[in-house]
Amino acid sequence: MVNVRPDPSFVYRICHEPRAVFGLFVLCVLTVIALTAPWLAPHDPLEQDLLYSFLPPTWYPQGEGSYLLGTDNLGRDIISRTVYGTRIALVVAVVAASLACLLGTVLGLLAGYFGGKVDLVISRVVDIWMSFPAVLLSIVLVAVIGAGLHAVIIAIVIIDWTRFCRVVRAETMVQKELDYVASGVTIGLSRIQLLLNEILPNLVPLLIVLLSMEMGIAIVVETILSFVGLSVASDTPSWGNLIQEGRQYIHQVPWLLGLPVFCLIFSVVGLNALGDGLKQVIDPVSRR
Amino acid sequence: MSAILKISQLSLCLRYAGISERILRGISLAIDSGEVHGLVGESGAGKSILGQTILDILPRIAVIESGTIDFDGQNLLRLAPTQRRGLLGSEIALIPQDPMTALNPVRRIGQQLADTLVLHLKLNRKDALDRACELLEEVRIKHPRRALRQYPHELSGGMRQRVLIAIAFSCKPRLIVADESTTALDVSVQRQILRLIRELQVSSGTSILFITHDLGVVAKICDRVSIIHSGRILESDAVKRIFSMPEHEYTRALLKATPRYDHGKHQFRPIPKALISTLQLEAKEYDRRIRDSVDA
Ligand SMILES: Nc1ncnc2c1ncn2[C@@H]1O[C@H](COP(=O)(O)OP(=O)(O)OP(=O)(O)O)[C@@H](O)[C@H]1O
Ligand SMILES: [Mg+2]
Repeated sequence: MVNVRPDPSFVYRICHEPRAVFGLFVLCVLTVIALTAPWLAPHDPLEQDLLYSFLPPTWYPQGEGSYLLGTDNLGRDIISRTVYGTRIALVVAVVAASLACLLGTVLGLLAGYFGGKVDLVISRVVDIWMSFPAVLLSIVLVAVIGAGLHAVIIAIVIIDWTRFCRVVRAETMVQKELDYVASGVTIGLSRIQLLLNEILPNLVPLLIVLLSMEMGIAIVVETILSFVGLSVASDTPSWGNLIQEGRQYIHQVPWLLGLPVFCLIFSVVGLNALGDGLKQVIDPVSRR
Repeated sequence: MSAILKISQLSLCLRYAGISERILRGISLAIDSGEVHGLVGESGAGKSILGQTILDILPRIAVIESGTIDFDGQNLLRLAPTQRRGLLGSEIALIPQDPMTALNPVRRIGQQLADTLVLHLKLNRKDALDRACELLEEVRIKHPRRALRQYPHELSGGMRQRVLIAIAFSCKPRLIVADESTTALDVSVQRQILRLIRELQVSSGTSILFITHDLGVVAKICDRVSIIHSGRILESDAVKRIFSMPEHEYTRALLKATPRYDHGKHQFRPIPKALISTLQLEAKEYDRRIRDSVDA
Protein backbone atom coordinates (compact mmCIF):
# COMPACT_ATOMS: atom_id res chain seq x y z
CA MET A 1 0.00 0.00 0.00
CA VAL A 2 1.36 3.38 -0.95
CA ASN A 3 1.99 5.53 2.05
CA VAL A 4 0.62 9.00 1.56
CA ARG A 5 2.46 11.67 3.47
CA PRO A 6 -0.03 13.91 5.21
CA ASP A 7 -0.03 17.46 3.91
CA PRO A 8 1.41 20.22 5.99
CA SER A 9 -1.61 21.81 7.58
CA PHE A 10 -3.37 24.78 6.09
CA VAL A 11 -2.32 27.01 8.97
CA TYR A 12 1.31 25.97 8.50
CA ARG A 13 1.24 26.89 4.84
CA ILE A 14 -0.39 30.25 5.51
CA CYS A 15 2.33 31.05 8.02
CA HIS A 16 4.93 30.46 5.31
CA GLU A 17 3.31 32.73 2.75
CA PRO A 18 4.48 36.27 3.59
CA ARG A 19 1.73 38.01 1.62
CA ALA A 20 -1.00 36.09 3.41
CA VAL A 21 0.61 36.82 6.78
CA PHE A 22 0.87 40.52 5.99
CA GLY A 23 -2.72 40.58 4.71
CA LEU A 24 -4.06 38.84 7.80
CA PHE A 25 -2.06 41.24 9.95
CA VAL A 26 -3.65 44.23 8.16
CA LEU A 27 -7.11 42.75 8.49
CA CYS A 28 -6.58 42.11 12.21
CA VAL A 29 -5.25 45.61 12.81
CA LEU A 30 -8.23 47.16 11.02
CA THR A 31 -10.66 44.97 12.93
CA VAL A 32 -9.10 45.77 16.31
CA ILE A 33 -9.08 49.49 15.56
CA ALA A 34 -12.71 49.40 14.44
CA LEU A 35 -13.84 47.45 17.51
CA THR A 36 -11.90 49.48 20.06
CA ALA A 37 -12.40 52.91 18.46
CA PRO A 38 -14.05 54.50 21.54
CA TRP A 39 -11.10 53.53 23.73
CA LEU A 40 -8.42 54.06 21.15
CA ALA A 41 -9.45 57.54 20.02
CA PRO A 42 -8.00 60.21 22.32
CA HIS A 43 -10.84 62.64 21.55
CA ASP A 44 -14.46 62.65 20.47
CA PRO A 45 -14.20 62.63 16.66
CA LEU A 46 -17.09 65.10 16.36
CA GLU A 47 -15.99 67.48 19.13
CA GLN A 48 -15.17 70.88 17.68
CA ASP A 49 -12.87 73.37 19.30
CA LEU A 50 -12.28 76.37 17.12
CA LEU A 51 -9.53 77.62 19.43
CA TYR A 52 -7.52 74.57 18.41
CA SER A 53 -8.20 74.55 14.67
CA PHE A 54 -5.36 73.61 12.31
CA LEU A 55 -3.05 72.47 15.06
CA PRO A 56 0.04 70.87 13.57
CA PRO A 57 1.39 67.53 14.83
CA THR A 58 2.73 67.70 18.38
CA TRP A 59 6.39 67.72 17.40
CA TYR A 60 5.96 71.12 15.71
CA PRO A 61 6.58 74.18 17.94
CA GLN A 62 2.85 75.13 17.90
CA GLY A 63 1.79 71.49 18.44
CA GLU A 64 -0.44 70.47 21.33
CA GLY A 65 0.37 67.39 23.40
CA SER A 66 -2.95 65.58 23.22
CA TYR A 67 -3.50 66.16 19.48
CA LEU A 68 -0.74 63.88 18.28
CA LEU A 69 -1.22 64.45 14.56
CA GLY A 70 -2.93 67.82 14.80
CA THR A 71 -6.48 69.02 14.14
CA ASP A 72 -8.60 70.05 11.16
CA ASN A 73 -10.29 73.33 10.32
CA LEU A 74 -12.87 72.88 13.09
CA GLY A 75 -10.34 71.77 15.67
CA ARG A 76 -11.28 68.08 15.52
CA ASP A 77 -8.59 65.49 16.29
CA ILE A 78 -7.20 63.86 13.14
CA ILE A 79 -6.29 60.59 14.82
CA SER A 80 -9.69 60.17 16.41
CA ARG A 81 -11.46 60.88 13.15
CA THR A 82 -9.30 58.42 11.23
CA VAL A 83 -9.83 55.76 13.89
CA TYR A 84 -13.59 56.15 13.64
CA GLY A 85 -13.30 56.21 9.86
CA THR A 86 -11.92 52.68 10.07
CA ARG A 87 -15.32 51.52 11.29
CA ILE A 88 -17.06 52.81 8.19
CA ALA A 89 -14.41 51.44 5.87
CA LEU A 90 -14.56 48.00 7.46
CA VAL A 91 -18.36 47.82 7.58
CA VAL A 92 -18.55 48.73 3.92
CA ALA A 93 -15.78 46.28 3.04
CA VAL A 94 -17.34 43.32 4.85
CA VAL A 95 -21.01 43.91 4.13
CA ALA A 96 -20.73 45.05 0.52
CA ALA A 97 -18.17 42.41 -0.45
CA SER A 98 -20.19 39.60 1.18
CA LEU A 99 -23.43 40.63 -0.47
CA ALA A 100 -21.75 41.04 -3.86
CA CYS A 101 -20.22 37.62 -3.36
CA LEU A 102 -23.58 36.09 -2.48
CA LEU A 103 -25.41 37.58 -5.45
CA GLY A 104 -22.62 36.86 -7.94
CA THR A 105 -22.12 33.32 -6.70
CA VAL A 106 -25.79 32.38 -6.93
CA LEU A 107 -26.12 33.73 -10.46
CA GLY A 108 -22.74 32.34 -11.52
CA LEU A 109 -23.65 28.87 -10.25
CA LEU A 110 -26.95 28.93 -12.11
CA ALA A 111 -25.39 30.19 -15.34
CA GLY A 112 -22.49 27.75 -15.21
CA TYR A 113 -24.49 24.71 -14.21
CA PHE A 114 -27.64 25.02 -16.26
CA GLY A 115 -26.05 26.63 -19.32
CA GLY A 116 -28.34 27.24 -22.29
CA LYS A 117 -30.81 30.09 -21.99
CA VAL A 118 -30.12 30.73 -18.31
CA ASP A 119 -26.45 31.19 -19.09
CA LEU A 120 -27.19 33.32 -22.12
CA VAL A 121 -29.32 35.78 -20.14
CA ILE A 122 -27.00 36.02 -17.14
CA SER A 123 -23.85 36.30 -19.25
CA ARG A 124 -25.29 39.04 -21.44
CA VAL A 125 -26.32 41.02 -18.38
CA VAL A 126 -22.79 40.64 -16.99
CA ASP A 127 -21.25 41.79 -20.28
CA ILE A 128 -23.45 44.86 -20.45
CA TRP A 129 -22.83 45.59 -16.75
CA MET A 130 -19.08 45.39 -17.13
CA SER A 131 -19.05 47.73 -20.10
CA PHE A 132 -20.03 50.67 -17.84
CA PRO A 133 -17.16 52.45 -16.07
CA ALA A 134 -17.54 51.30 -12.47
CA VAL A 135 -16.93 54.58 -10.66
CA LEU A 136 -19.26 56.52 -12.92
CA LEU A 137 -21.95 53.88 -12.49
CA SER A 138 -21.61 53.98 -8.72
CA ILE A 139 -21.92 57.76 -8.66
CA VAL A 140 -25.04 57.59 -10.82
CA LEU A 141 -26.49 54.81 -8.67
CA VAL A 142 -25.91 56.61 -5.38
CA ALA A 143 -27.33 59.76 -6.90
CA VAL A 144 -30.47 57.78 -7.73
CA ILE A 145 -30.75 55.81 -4.48
CA GLY A 146 -29.78 58.79 -2.35
CA ALA A 147 -26.61 59.36 -0.36
CA GLY A 148 -25.79 57.40 2.77
CA LEU A 149 -23.95 54.33 3.88
CA HIS A 150 -26.67 51.89 2.81
CA ALA A 151 -26.74 53.47 -0.66
CA VAL A 152 -22.98 53.05 -0.97
CA ILE A 153 -23.25 49.39 -0.01
CA ILE A 154 -26.09 48.78 -2.44
CA ALA A 155 -24.18 50.52 -5.21
CA ILE A 156 -21.06 48.42 -4.63
CA VAL A 157 -23.10 45.21 -4.62
CA ILE A 158 -24.95 46.15 -7.78
CA ILE A 159 -21.71 46.95 -9.57
CA ASP A 160 -19.34 44.29 -8.31
CA TRP A 161 -21.46 41.12 -8.28
CA THR A 162 -20.31 40.65 -11.88
CA ARG A 163 -16.72 40.00 -10.76
CA PHE A 164 -17.91 37.01 -8.74
CA CYS A 165 -20.45 35.90 -11.31
CA ARG A 166 -17.93 35.62 -14.14
CA VAL A 167 -15.40 33.61 -12.19
CA VAL A 168 -17.95 31.37 -10.47
CA ARG A 169 -19.67 30.65 -13.78
CA ALA A 170 -16.41 29.64 -15.46
CA GLU A 171 -15.33 27.46 -12.55
CA THR A 172 -18.75 25.81 -12.29
CA MET A 173 -18.56 24.88 -15.96
CA VAL A 174 -15.19 23.24 -15.32
CA GLN A 175 -16.41 21.49 -12.18
CA LYS A 176 -19.57 20.03 -13.64
CA GLU A 177 -17.57 18.07 -16.19
CA LEU A 178 -15.39 16.50 -13.52
CA ASP A 179 -15.62 12.86 -12.53
CA TYR A 180 -16.83 13.35 -9.00
CA VAL A 181 -19.79 15.39 -10.15
CA ALA A 182 -20.60 12.58 -12.59
CA SER A 183 -20.34 10.11 -9.70
CA GLY A 184 -22.71 12.35 -7.78
CA VAL A 185 -25.20 11.78 -10.57
CA THR A 186 -24.76 8.02 -10.40
CA ILE A 187 -25.59 7.88 -6.71
CA GLY A 188 -28.82 9.72 -7.49
CA LEU A 189 -28.14 13.24 -6.21
CA SER A 190 -30.51 15.87 -7.58
CA ARG A 191 -29.26 18.93 -9.46
CA ILE A 192 -29.56 21.18 -6.45
CA GLN A 193 -27.70 18.65 -4.29
CA LEU A 194 -24.99 18.40 -6.92
CA LEU A 195 -24.61 22.16 -6.94
CA LEU A 196 -24.55 22.54 -3.17
CA ASN A 197 -22.78 19.30 -2.14
CA GLU A 198 -20.32 18.66 -4.90
CA ILE A 199 -19.61 21.91 -6.72
CA LEU A 200 -19.96 24.73 -4.17
CA PRO A 201 -17.40 23.35 -1.67
CA ASN A 202 -14.85 23.35 -4.47
CA LEU A 203 -15.47 27.02 -5.11
CA VAL A 204 -14.87 28.12 -1.51
CA PRO A 205 -11.10 28.70 -1.89
CA LEU A 206 -11.72 30.78 -4.97
CA LEU A 207 -14.44 32.77 -3.24
CA ILE A 208 -12.22 33.54 -0.26
CA VAL A 209 -9.58 34.97 -2.59
CA LEU A 210 -12.11 37.04 -4.52
CA LEU A 211 -13.74 38.21 -1.32
CA SER A 212 -10.55 39.59 0.19
CA MET A 213 -9.74 41.46 -3.01
CA GLU A 214 -13.28 42.76 -3.23
CA MET A 215 -13.01 44.14 0.31
CA GLY A 216 -10.10 46.28 -0.85
CA ILE A 217 -12.09 47.48 -3.83
CA ALA A 218 -15.11 48.29 -1.66
CA ILE A 219 -12.97 50.45 0.62
CA VAL A 220 -11.68 52.40 -2.36
CA VAL A 221 -15.16 52.89 -3.80
CA GLU A 222 -16.51 54.08 -0.46
CA THR A 223 -13.64 56.53 -0.17
CA ILE A 224 -14.29 57.85 -3.66
CA LEU A 225 -17.98 58.31 -2.93
CA SER A 226 -17.20 60.04 0.37
CA PHE A 227 -14.74 62.23 -1.46
CA VAL A 228 -17.39 63.38 -3.91
CA GLY A 229 -19.85 63.80 -1.04
CA LEU A 230 -22.17 60.93 -1.90
CA SER A 231 -21.51 58.64 1.04
CA VAL A 232 -22.02 59.36 4.73
CA ALA A 233 -22.87 62.91 5.85
CA SER A 234 -19.91 65.23 5.38
CA ASP A 235 -19.22 65.71 9.10
CA THR A 236 -19.13 61.96 9.75
CA PRO A 237 -15.54 60.81 10.05
CA SER A 238 -14.84 58.60 7.06
CA TRP A 239 -11.54 58.31 5.26
CA GLY A 240 -13.04 59.78 2.09
CA ASN A 241 -14.39 62.81 3.98
CA LEU A 242 -11.03 63.30 5.70
CA ILE A 243 -9.19 63.19 2.41
CA GLN A 244 -11.68 65.58 0.87
CA GLU A 245 -11.23 68.09 3.74
CA GLY A 246 -7.50 67.64 3.61
CA ARG A 247 -7.49 68.41 -0.06
CA GLN A 248 -9.12 71.81 0.54
CA TYR A 249 -6.30 72.97 2.80
CA ILE A 250 -3.50 71.06 1.17
CA HIS A 251 -1.34 74.15 0.67
CA GLN A 252 -1.72 75.53 4.19
CA VAL A 253 -1.83 72.31 6.26
CA PRO A 254 -0.57 69.32 4.26
CA TRP A 255 -0.51 67.00 7.30
CA LEU A 256 -4.32 66.65 7.27
CA LEU A 257 -4.06 64.25 4.36
CA GLY A 258 -1.27 62.08 5.68
CA LEU A 259 -2.97 59.65 8.05
CA PRO A 260 -6.19 58.92 6.10
CA VAL A 261 -4.28 58.42 2.86
CA PHE A 262 -1.86 56.11 4.63
CA CYS A 263 -4.76 54.11 6.11
CA LEU A 264 -6.38 53.77 2.71
CA ILE A 265 -3.23 52.52 1.03
CA PHE A 266 -2.33 50.30 3.97
CA SER A 267 -5.68 48.52 3.97
CA VAL A 268 -6.04 48.14 0.21
CA VAL A 269 -2.49 46.86 -0.22
CA GLY A 270 -3.03 44.53 2.74
CA LEU A 271 -6.29 43.08 1.44
CA ASN A 272 -4.87 42.55 -2.03
CA ALA A 273 -1.84 40.84 -0.54
CA LEU A 274 -4.19 38.65 1.48
CA GLY A 275 -6.03 37.63 -1.69
CA ASP A 276 -2.81 36.92 -3.58
CA GLY A 277 -1.28 35.04 -0.68
CA LEU A 278 -4.36 32.91 -0.09
CA LYS A 279 -4.46 32.08 -3.77
CA GLN A 280 -0.92 30.76 -3.49
CA VAL A 281 -1.72 28.75 -0.39
CA ILE A 282 -4.99 27.34 -1.63
CA ASP A 283 -4.21 26.63 -5.27
CA PRO A 284 -2.14 23.43 -4.94
CA VAL A 285 -4.95 21.89 -2.92
CA SER A 286 -7.72 22.70 -5.32
CA ARG A 287 -5.64 21.59 -8.31
CA ARG A 288 -4.87 18.21 -6.82
CA MET B 1 -31.91 -18.51 -13.14
CA SER B 2 -33.97 -15.41 -13.73
CA ALA B 3 -32.41 -12.45 -15.45
CA ILE B 4 -32.21 -9.24 -13.43
CA LEU B 5 -31.30 -7.23 -16.52
CA LYS B 6 -32.33 -8.13 -20.04
CA ILE B 7 -31.26 -5.95 -22.92
CA SER B 8 -32.71 -6.69 -26.32
CA GLN B 9 -31.97 -5.25 -29.74
CA LEU B 10 -30.50 -2.06 -28.32
CA SER B 11 -29.20 0.37 -30.93
CA LEU B 12 -27.74 3.75 -30.21
CA CYS B 13 -25.99 6.45 -32.15
CA LEU B 14 -24.13 9.63 -31.37
CA ARG B 15 -25.18 12.69 -33.31
CA TYR B 16 -22.92 15.66 -33.56
CA ALA B 17 -22.22 18.35 -36.13
CA GLY B 18 -24.81 16.90 -38.46
CA ILE B 19 -23.27 13.45 -38.64
CA SER B 20 -24.60 10.37 -36.93
CA GLU B 21 -22.35 7.53 -35.83
CA ARG B 22 -23.84 4.24 -34.69
CA ILE B 23 -22.13 2.95 -31.55
CA LEU B 24 -24.39 0.08 -30.42
CA ARG B 25 -25.84 -2.23 -33.05
CA GLY B 26 -28.68 -4.43 -31.87
CA ILE B 27 -27.17 -5.42 -28.52
CA SER B 28 -28.87 -8.29 -26.70
CA LEU B 29 -27.58 -9.31 -23.33
CA ALA B 30 -29.00 -10.96 -20.22
CA ILE B 31 -27.51 -10.70 -16.75
CA ASP B 32 -28.77 -13.27 -14.27
CA SER B 33 -29.36 -12.32 -10.70
CA GLY B 34 -26.33 -13.04 -8.59
CA GLU B 35 -23.88 -13.34 -11.43
CA VAL B 36 -20.83 -11.35 -12.47
CA HIS B 37 -21.12 -10.78 -16.17
CA GLY B 38 -18.01 -9.70 -18.03
CA LEU B 39 -18.15 -7.39 -21.02
CA VAL B 40 -14.95 -7.60 -23.02
CA GLY B 41 -13.89 -5.79 -26.14
CA GLU B 42 -11.23 -3.51 -27.50
CA SER B 43 -11.12 0.23 -27.03
CA GLY B 44 -14.00 2.00 -28.77
CA ALA B 45 -16.16 -1.12 -28.95
CA GLY B 46 -18.95 0.65 -27.08
CA LYS B 47 -18.55 -0.93 -23.65
CA SER B 48 -18.73 2.27 -21.65
CA ILE B 49 -21.59 3.60 -23.75
CA LEU B 50 -23.56 0.42 -22.98
CA GLY B 51 -22.86 0.87 -19.27
CA GLN B 52 -23.90 4.50 -19.46
CA THR B 53 -27.12 3.52 -21.21
CA ILE B 54 -28.03 1.19 -18.35
CA LEU B 55 -27.23 3.91 -15.81
CA ASP B 56 -28.88 6.71 -17.79
CA ILE B 57 -25.78 8.91 -17.79
CA LEU B 58 -25.26 9.06 -21.56
CA PRO B 59 -23.71 12.14 -23.13
CA ARG B 60 -26.30 14.52 -24.57
CA ILE B 61 -25.39 13.65 -28.15
CA ALA B 62 -26.47 10.02 -27.71
CA VAL B 63 -29.78 8.93 -29.20
CA ILE B 64 -31.30 5.54 -28.46
CA GLU B 65 -32.78 4.28 -31.71
CA SER B 66 -34.45 1.05 -30.68
CA GLY B 67 -34.49 -1.73 -28.14
CA THR B 68 -35.53 -2.37 -24.55
CA ILE B 69 -33.73 -2.70 -21.26
CA ASP B 70 -35.78 -4.77 -18.86
CA PHE B 71 -34.77 -4.38 -15.25
CA ASP B 72 -36.78 -6.26 -12.72
CA GLY B 73 -39.72 -6.59 -15.09
CA GLN B 74 -39.93 -2.94 -16.22
CA ASN B 75 -38.49 -1.36 -19.34
CA LEU B 76 -36.00 1.24 -18.10
CA LEU B 77 -36.21 3.17 -21.35
CA ARG B 78 -39.93 3.77 -20.74
CA LEU B 79 -39.59 5.02 -17.18
CA ALA B 80 -40.13 8.68 -16.34
CA PRO B 81 -36.80 10.49 -15.77
CA THR B 82 -37.48 11.03 -12.06
CA GLN B 83 -38.31 7.36 -11.54
CA ARG B 84 -35.18 6.39 -13.38
CA ARG B 85 -33.01 8.72 -11.33
CA GLY B 86 -34.57 7.20 -8.24
CA LEU B 87 -33.06 3.83 -9.17
CA LEU B 88 -29.55 5.26 -9.39
CA GLY B 89 -27.52 4.51 -6.31
CA SER B 90 -30.29 2.48 -4.71
CA GLU B 91 -31.09 -0.25 -7.26
CA ILE B 92 -28.39 0.28 -9.89
CA ALA B 93 -24.97 1.56 -8.84
CA LEU B 94 -21.64 2.32 -10.48
CA ILE B 95 -18.08 1.55 -9.49
CA PRO B 96 -16.21 4.18 -11.50
CA GLN B 97 -12.97 3.68 -13.35
CA ASP B 98 -10.62 6.20 -11.85
CA PRO B 99 -10.45 6.28 -8.05
CA MET B 100 -8.22 9.36 -8.18
CA THR B 101 -10.87 11.63 -9.63
CA ALA B 102 -14.19 10.06 -8.70
CA LEU B 103 -14.23 11.43 -5.15
CA ASN B 104 -14.78 15.09 -4.37
CA PRO B 105 -11.39 16.48 -3.25
CA VAL B 106 -12.76 18.95 -0.70
CA ARG B 107 -15.26 16.73 1.12
CA ARG B 108 -14.47 14.17 3.79
CA ILE B 109 -14.81 10.48 2.96
CA GLY B 110 -17.53 10.11 5.59
CA GLN B 111 -19.68 12.86 4.13
CA GLN B 112 -19.46 11.35 0.67
CA LEU B 113 -20.41 7.90 1.95
CA ALA B 114 -23.24 9.35 3.97
CA ASP B 115 -24.78 11.08 0.94
CA THR B 116 -26.14 7.86 -0.53
CA LEU B 117 -27.35 6.57 2.82
CA VAL B 118 -29.19 9.77 3.63
CA LEU B 119 -30.66 9.97 0.17
CA HIS B 120 -31.87 6.41 -0.33
CA LEU B 121 -32.11 4.80 3.11
CA LYS B 122 -33.42 8.02 4.70
CA LEU B 123 -30.97 7.79 7.58
CA ASN B 124 -30.13 10.92 9.54
CA ARG B 125 -26.57 12.22 9.24
CA LYS B 126 -25.40 10.66 12.49
CA ASP B 127 -26.76 7.18 11.79
CA ALA B 128 -25.46 7.49 8.25
CA LEU B 129 -21.94 8.17 9.55
CA ASP B 130 -22.14 5.16 11.89
CA ARG B 131 -23.28 3.01 9.00
CA ALA B 132 -20.54 4.50 6.79
CA CYS B 133 -18.00 3.36 9.37
CA GLU B 134 -19.32 -0.21 9.19
CA LEU B 135 -19.19 -0.06 5.40
CA LEU B 136 -15.55 1.01 5.49
CA GLU B 137 -14.85 -1.92 7.78
CA GLU B 138 -16.55 -4.24 5.30
CA VAL B 139 -14.22 -3.05 2.54
CA ARG B 140 -11.22 -3.65 4.88
CA ILE B 141 -10.15 -0.09 5.46
CA LYS B 142 -7.91 -0.28 8.49
CA HIS B 143 -8.88 2.66 10.63
CA PRO B 144 -12.45 3.31 9.51
CA ARG B 145 -13.14 5.96 12.19
CA ARG B 146 -10.16 7.96 11.05
CA ALA B 147 -10.83 7.39 7.35
CA LEU B 148 -14.29 8.90 7.76
CA ARG B 149 -12.69 12.22 8.66
CA GLN B 150 -10.01 12.11 5.96
CA TYR B 151 -10.00 13.77 2.58
CA PRO B 152 -9.52 11.72 -0.60
CA HIS B 153 -5.96 12.93 -1.20
CA GLU B 154 -4.93 11.45 2.13
CA LEU B 155 -5.76 7.95 0.88
CA SER B 156 -3.95 5.82 -1.70
CA GLY B 157 -5.57 4.78 -4.97
CA GLY B 158 -6.45 1.32 -3.68
CA MET B 159 -8.03 2.80 -0.56
CA ARG B 160 -10.05 5.22 -2.60
CA GLN B 161 -11.27 2.42 -4.84
CA ARG B 162 -12.37 0.62 -1.66
CA VAL B 163 -14.33 3.71 -0.65
CA LEU B 164 -16.01 3.80 -4.07
CA ILE B 165 -16.86 0.11 -3.74
CA ALA B 166 -18.34 0.80 -0.33
CA ILE B 167 -20.46 3.57 -1.83
CA ALA B 168 -21.63 1.31 -4.66
CA PHE B 169 -22.66 -1.50 -2.29
CA SER B 170 -24.02 0.80 0.43
CA CYS B 171 -27.71 0.61 -0.50
CA LYS B 172 -27.66 -3.06 -1.50
CA PRO B 173 -28.34 -2.43 -5.18
CA ARG B 174 -29.54 -5.24 -7.42
CA LEU B 175 -27.10 -4.39 -10.19
CA ILE B 176 -23.69 -2.78 -10.19
CA VAL B 177 -21.95 -1.57 -13.32
CA ALA B 178 -18.19 -1.73 -12.88
CA ASP B 179 -16.54 0.13 -15.77
CA GLU B 180 -12.83 -0.71 -15.86
CA SER B 181 -12.89 -0.42 -12.09
CA THR B 182 -9.46 -1.93 -11.58
CA THR B 183 -7.65 -0.66 -14.67
CA ALA B 184 -6.11 2.34 -12.91
CA LEU B 185 -4.58 0.20 -10.14
CA ASP B 186 -1.31 -1.68 -10.07
CA VAL B 187 -1.47 -5.44 -10.40
CA SER B 188 -1.20 -6.50 -6.75
CA VAL B 189 -3.75 -3.94 -5.60
CA GLN B 190 -5.93 -4.96 -8.52
CA ARG B 191 -5.97 -8.55 -7.29
CA GLN B 192 -7.03 -7.50 -3.77
CA ILE B 193 -9.76 -5.27 -5.15
CA LEU B 194 -11.11 -8.00 -7.42
CA ARG B 195 -11.23 -10.42 -4.49
CA LEU B 196 -13.03 -7.81 -2.41
CA ILE B 197 -15.63 -7.12 -5.09
CA ARG B 198 -16.23 -10.84 -5.52
CA GLU B 199 -16.67 -11.35 -1.78
CA LEU B 200 -19.13 -8.50 -1.37
CA GLN B 201 -20.98 -9.64 -4.48
CA VAL B 202 -21.36 -13.18 -3.17
CA SER B 203 -22.51 -12.09 0.27
CA SER B 204 -25.00 -9.55 -1.05
CA GLY B 205 -26.20 -11.48 -4.10
CA THR B 206 -25.83 -8.38 -6.27
CA SER B 207 -25.33 -8.85 -10.01
CA ILE B 208 -22.41 -7.09 -11.62
CA LEU B 209 -21.76 -6.03 -15.18
CA PHE B 210 -17.98 -6.02 -15.24
CA ILE B 211 -16.57 -4.00 -18.14
CA THR B 212 -12.93 -4.64 -19.00
CA HIS B 213 -10.58 -5.35 -21.86
CA ASP B 214 -8.50 -7.71 -19.79
CA LEU B 215 -9.37 -11.40 -20.18
CA GLY B 216 -7.17 -12.16 -17.19
CA VAL B 217 -9.52 -10.11 -15.02
CA VAL B 218 -12.51 -11.90 -16.56
CA ALA B 219 -11.02 -15.26 -15.62
CA LYS B 220 -10.63 -14.11 -12.01
CA ILE B 221 -14.02 -12.65 -11.32
CA CYS B 222 -16.69 -13.40 -13.94
CA ASP B 223 -19.25 -16.18 -14.20
CA ARG B 224 -20.24 -15.40 -17.75
CA VAL B 225 -18.80 -13.13 -20.36
CA SER B 226 -19.93 -11.36 -23.52
CA ILE B 227 -17.55 -10.37 -26.28
CA ILE B 228 -18.32 -7.06 -27.93
CA HIS B 229 -16.90 -5.50 -31.09
CA SER B 230 -18.09 -2.46 -33.05
CA GLY B 231 -21.18 -2.31 -30.89
CA ARG B 232 -22.21 -5.91 -31.54
CA ILE B 233 -22.18 -8.83 -29.12
CA LEU B 234 -20.23 -11.59 -30.90
CA GLU B 235 -20.78 -14.31 -28.34
CA SER B 236 -21.95 -14.67 -24.80
CA ASP B 237 -21.48 -17.69 -22.55
CA ALA B 238 -20.00 -19.14 -19.36
CA VAL B 239 -16.39 -18.06 -18.84
CA LYS B 240 -15.14 -21.67 -18.71
CA ARG B 241 -16.78 -22.50 -22.04
CA ILE B 242 -15.52 -19.36 -23.76
CA PHE B 243 -11.98 -19.95 -22.55
CA SER B 244 -11.92 -23.63 -23.50
CA MET B 245 -13.97 -23.63 -26.71
CA PRO B 246 -14.32 -20.14 -28.12
CA GLU B 247 -16.83 -20.17 -30.93
CA HIS B 248 -16.25 -16.86 -32.63
CA GLU B 249 -13.07 -16.30 -34.55
CA TYR B 250 -12.56 -12.93 -32.85
CA THR B 251 -12.78 -14.53 -29.42
CA ARG B 252 -10.12 -17.04 -30.40
CA ALA B 253 -7.90 -14.21 -31.67
CA LEU B 254 -8.51 -12.27 -28.46
CA LEU B 255 -7.48 -15.26 -26.34
CA LYS B 256 -4.33 -15.72 -28.38
CA ALA B 257 -3.54 -12.02 -28.02
CA THR B 258 -3.62 -12.28 -24.24
CA PRO B 259 -0.14 -12.89 -22.81
CA ARG B 260 -0.04 -15.75 -20.33
CA TYR B 261 2.71 -17.04 -18.05
CA ASP B 262 2.49 -20.60 -19.42
CA HIS B 263 2.84 -19.47 -23.01
CA GLY B 264 6.11 -18.85 -24.78
CA LYS B 265 6.74 -15.48 -26.35
CA HIS B 266 6.10 -16.77 -29.88
CA GLN B 267 2.59 -17.82 -28.95
CA PHE B 268 1.48 -14.26 -28.29
CA ARG B 269 -0.12 -13.05 -31.52
CA PRO B 270 -1.82 -9.75 -32.33
CA ILE B 271 -5.36 -9.83 -33.69
CA PRO B 272 -5.17 -10.27 -37.51
CA LYS B 273 -5.97 -7.12 -39.49
CA ALA B 274 -8.14 -9.10 -41.89
CA LEU B 275 -10.39 -10.21 -39.03
CA ILE B 276 -10.84 -6.64 -37.81
CA SER B 277 -11.80 -5.42 -41.28
CA THR B 278 -14.29 -8.30 -41.66
CA LEU B 279 -15.92 -7.25 -38.38
CA GLN B 280 -16.03 -3.64 -39.50
CA LEU B 281 -17.61 -4.69 -42.78
CA GLU B 282 -20.24 -6.64 -40.89
CA ALA B 283 -20.97 -3.54 -38.81
CA LYS B 284 -21.36 -1.46 -41.98
CA GLU B 285 -23.62 -4.17 -43.37
CA TYR B 286 -25.79 -3.89 -40.24
CA ASP B 287 -26.04 -0.13 -40.70
CA ARG B 288 -27.05 -0.60 -44.33
CA ARG B 289 -29.80 -3.08 -43.42
CA ILE B 290 -31.18 -0.61 -40.88
CA ARG B 291 -31.10 2.22 -43.41
CA ASP B 292 -32.84 0.10 -46.03
CA SER B 293 -35.56 -1.01 -43.63
CA VAL B 294 -36.16 2.62 -42.62
CA ASP B 295 -36.30 3.78 -46.25
CA ALA B 296 -38.59 0.95 -47.33
N1 LIG C 1 -18.92 11.76 -25.21
C1 LIG C 1 -18.58 11.27 -26.41
N2 LIG C 1 -18.48 12.08 -27.48
C2 LIG C 1 -18.13 11.59 -28.70
N3 LIG C 1 -17.87 10.32 -28.95
C3 LIG C 1 -17.94 9.45 -27.94
C4 LIG C 1 -18.30 9.87 -26.61
N4 LIG C 1 -18.29 8.80 -25.80
C5 LIG C 1 -17.95 7.76 -26.58
N5 LIG C 1 -17.74 8.12 -27.85
C6 LIG C 1 -17.38 7.26 -28.97
O1 LIG C 1 -18.14 6.08 -28.89
C7 LIG C 1 -17.37 4.95 -29.20
C8 LIG C 1 -17.49 3.93 -28.09
O2 LIG C 1 -16.95 4.51 -26.91
P1 LIG C 1 -16.86 3.76 -25.53
O3 LIG C 1 -16.40 4.75 -24.53
O4 LIG C 1 -18.12 3.06 -25.24
O5 LIG C 1 -15.69 2.72 -25.81
P2 LIG C 1 -15.14 1.61 -24.80
O6 LIG C 1 -15.49 0.30 -25.37
O7 LIG C 1 -15.59 1.90 -23.43
O8 LIG C 1 -13.59 1.82 -24.97
P3 LIG C 1 -12.46 1.88 -23.82
O9 LIG C 1 -12.01 0.48 -23.63
O10 LIG C 1 -11.40 2.72 -24.45
O11 LIG C 1 -13.06 2.49 -22.62
C9 LIG C 1 -15.95 5.42 -29.42
O12 LIG C 1 -15.71 5.42 -30.81
C10 LIG C 1 -15.92 6.83 -28.89
O13 LIG C 1 -15.11 7.62 -29.70
MG1 LIG D 1 -14.67 2.68 -21.64
